Amino acid sequence: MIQQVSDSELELMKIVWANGGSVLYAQIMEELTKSGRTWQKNTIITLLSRLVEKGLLKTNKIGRRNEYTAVVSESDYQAAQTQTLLNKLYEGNAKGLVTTLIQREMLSSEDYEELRQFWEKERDGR
Amino acid sequence: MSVVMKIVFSLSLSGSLLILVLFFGKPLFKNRLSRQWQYYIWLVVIVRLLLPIAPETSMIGELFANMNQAGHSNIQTPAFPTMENDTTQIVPMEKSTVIRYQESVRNGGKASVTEIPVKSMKKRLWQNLWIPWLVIAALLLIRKITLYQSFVKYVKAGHREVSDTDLLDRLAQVGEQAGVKRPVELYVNSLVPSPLLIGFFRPCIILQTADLTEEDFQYTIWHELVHYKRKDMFYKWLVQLTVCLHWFNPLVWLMGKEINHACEFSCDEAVIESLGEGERRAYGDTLFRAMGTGGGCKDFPVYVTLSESVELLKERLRVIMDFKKSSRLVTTISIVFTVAMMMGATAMGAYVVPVRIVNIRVNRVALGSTSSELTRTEGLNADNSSIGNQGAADNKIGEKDLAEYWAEQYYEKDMVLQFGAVFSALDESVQKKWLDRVYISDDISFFSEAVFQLDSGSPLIEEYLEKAYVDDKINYFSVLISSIDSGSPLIGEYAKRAYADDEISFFSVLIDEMSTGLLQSWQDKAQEGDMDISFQSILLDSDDLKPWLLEAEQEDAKQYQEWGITKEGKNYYYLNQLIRVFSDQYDGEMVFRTLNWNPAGTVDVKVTRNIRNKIMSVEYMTAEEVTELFGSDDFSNWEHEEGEDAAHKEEIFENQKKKEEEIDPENDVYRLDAEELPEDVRNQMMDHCEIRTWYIYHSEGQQYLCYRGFAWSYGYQLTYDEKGWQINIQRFQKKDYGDLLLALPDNGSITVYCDGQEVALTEMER
Repeated sequence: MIQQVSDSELELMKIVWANGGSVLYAQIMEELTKSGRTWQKNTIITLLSRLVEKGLLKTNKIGRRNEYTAVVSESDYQAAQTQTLLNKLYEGNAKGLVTTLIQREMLSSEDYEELRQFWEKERDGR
Repeated sequence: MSVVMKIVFSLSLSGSLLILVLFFGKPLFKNRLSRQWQYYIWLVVIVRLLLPIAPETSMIGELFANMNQAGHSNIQTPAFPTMENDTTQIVPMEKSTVIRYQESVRNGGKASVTEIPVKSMKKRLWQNLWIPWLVIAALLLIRKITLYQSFVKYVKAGHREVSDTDLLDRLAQVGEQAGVKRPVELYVNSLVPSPLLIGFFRPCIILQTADLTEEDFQYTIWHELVHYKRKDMFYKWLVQLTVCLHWFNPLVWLMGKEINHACEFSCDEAVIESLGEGERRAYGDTLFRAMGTGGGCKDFPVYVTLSESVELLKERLRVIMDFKKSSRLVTTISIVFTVAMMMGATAMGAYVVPVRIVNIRVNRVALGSTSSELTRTEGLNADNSSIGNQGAADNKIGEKDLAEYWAEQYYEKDMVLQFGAVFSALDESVQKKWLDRVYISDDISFFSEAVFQLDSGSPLIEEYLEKAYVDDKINYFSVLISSIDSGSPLIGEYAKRAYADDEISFFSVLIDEMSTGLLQSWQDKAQEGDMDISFQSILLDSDDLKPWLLEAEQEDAKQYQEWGITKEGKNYYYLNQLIRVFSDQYDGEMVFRTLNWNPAGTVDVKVTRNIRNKIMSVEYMTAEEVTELFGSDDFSNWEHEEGEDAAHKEEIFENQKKKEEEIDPENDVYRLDAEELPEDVRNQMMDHCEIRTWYIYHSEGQQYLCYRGFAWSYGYQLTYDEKGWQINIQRFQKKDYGDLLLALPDNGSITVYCDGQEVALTEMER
């Protein structure tokens, strides 16, 4: 069970994932500056240590620097979050979710066709 | 009353006086001196309450010492006359030791046995009062700690982390302002009574709500961070510890409360110091609002809060508005008051147990036991001061305890002589313990030093003799047997036993210790021949030679000392200079009592004695004399056979021999044993040479110099020139038998000088 994280924490996780799952503090700082964030150093450290506590990151000392490594991959995290969403909103019924996506045109017909082919292939493969 | 309780009560009493001073002085300085000072001045009181250290004479110390005399005079005995009266030096004590000693005082007092039961019951109660005191103190402390833990748990159970990065950023900024570098966690828990800070090393601020105005948030955070920065948590726990130990003293409880308040005041002061008038008002508003949102839990003891009670809050608000920066005068007065408090605390003192008398006694004992031997006394003198000082510092008491302590120290530091000195001051039971210990761990040096300190009639010696004999430890046995009187029947008994058990080594050790009469009787028995050959031989060999040699050696040493010569090991010293060539010679004769050569030496010394062994003169030797004696005053060409007492000579000459070989392997000159001779040469020589005649024999390019019955160790020096070989032979030490055999290249005639005299050579024909 992956613990819930706040938006700012998720933002940090995304940076970690985008950098191959392992970053130094300085890299995080760089990425945040690029995206226009001006968080205080201690704020970031606090957020990172919360992520460590929640089991999404682990730290490695490299000399005096901390390297943060993702314990949970992005797709695992997405899957877990989707599962939570499914359970919460659709009582575990994935069809309901897909229906909503199609009805509200959040899924285009091309997307749908692509998914269908993907599905057929997967099924034959098994 | 037990000493522990006396210490505690005296600390409590002198602490209380200081507390009263601060309480009564409070109206005077409350609004005049800084709140910081009013907070930290309590540290002086806490130190007084916790540390049992006092100067030599102090108010409270005297008081308790006198009380002690009054209480104990009826059971004092002459055995411990000075112990309690002497309070001139006061040093802290280790509790357990104190108690033990105290008990020994009681047990030593005969009167205590005859005391009526009720009185002794009461006494015993007083005596053991420290137990309930300690138990209650421990329980209180444990309760406080568990209460704090459960509070932390309670707070953490309901908390939510603040994930608003704006708030976190502001927290970080305020932290920077307040000088807190560490990242601080921020939580919200609506159940906490007021904003607070927990965690000693990972600071963690818990707010009732994150929904605060910017100002409120900032001041609240700031206040808590100042607490963290000043390590108020540690101070608070120090106070809690003090309160627990002085649980019987209501003034100390009051002090605890007072310090908690002072803590908040001084924290406020630290915050508003850097604020302007308007900001101060805003800070007051924050305090006021924090009061309103108070949550559910009240009785938790130690945490750092923002607000406490209405009364306190009012006071704090007033103080905030009245805040003035300290003037220089105020600072000066603060310093003066602080110094006064410290001096007061010192002068008040406390009751601590005197230890000095004990040290003096041990020193005396140690010196007394060693005055007989020079080196021992020296060893100890160097350490006397440290026995005293360290003894005091290490909180030890009791003559025996101290000696025991030092025995342990010296043993660990491998200081054998010092160990022996304190060993003699130990109780017999402790001595036995030590003997066991060094015997088991096979420390023969410590064992022999210890045995040396025992009386020659000590039962311990007898006991260990038996043990060493049974365990077949000859070295321990010999140490023990040599420390008993030579007339002791034990020697005869063990001799019989060793003889019966066929323990020749033990027997030979015993021979050395036998009285003349006993030895004679054994020798008579050996003469009769009815004895194992080995026992017989050591008995008949032993003669009276050993005592005679010993006597001669002692006589020599004494005479040498009179003339400024000392001997240490194999080294001789003259007026503290290491001697190179040392010759002790009978006047006008080439007969030496001692001839010693030490390559490391710097001076050559000649002792001349008359025929009755009296030293007539001691002089430096001239180079000529050395040359005369050794044929040369530089020893580079010397080859030498080792004298039994001069291993170093052998080494030197060995080296030179090697050198010679390197330099000129062709001209190989060497001494050899008869067995090493070529067979024809040997046959020729052994068959035809008479003893005590010098022979030369030529064979296959070699020539051999031979003298049968040359019962000396000797050295020789060679020169080779156009006239041929010149050999200077110098005799050193008498031996029982021996031959002189030298091999030289057959390339020249030989001239031989023995002890400077040319000798006649006989050419041996094939």
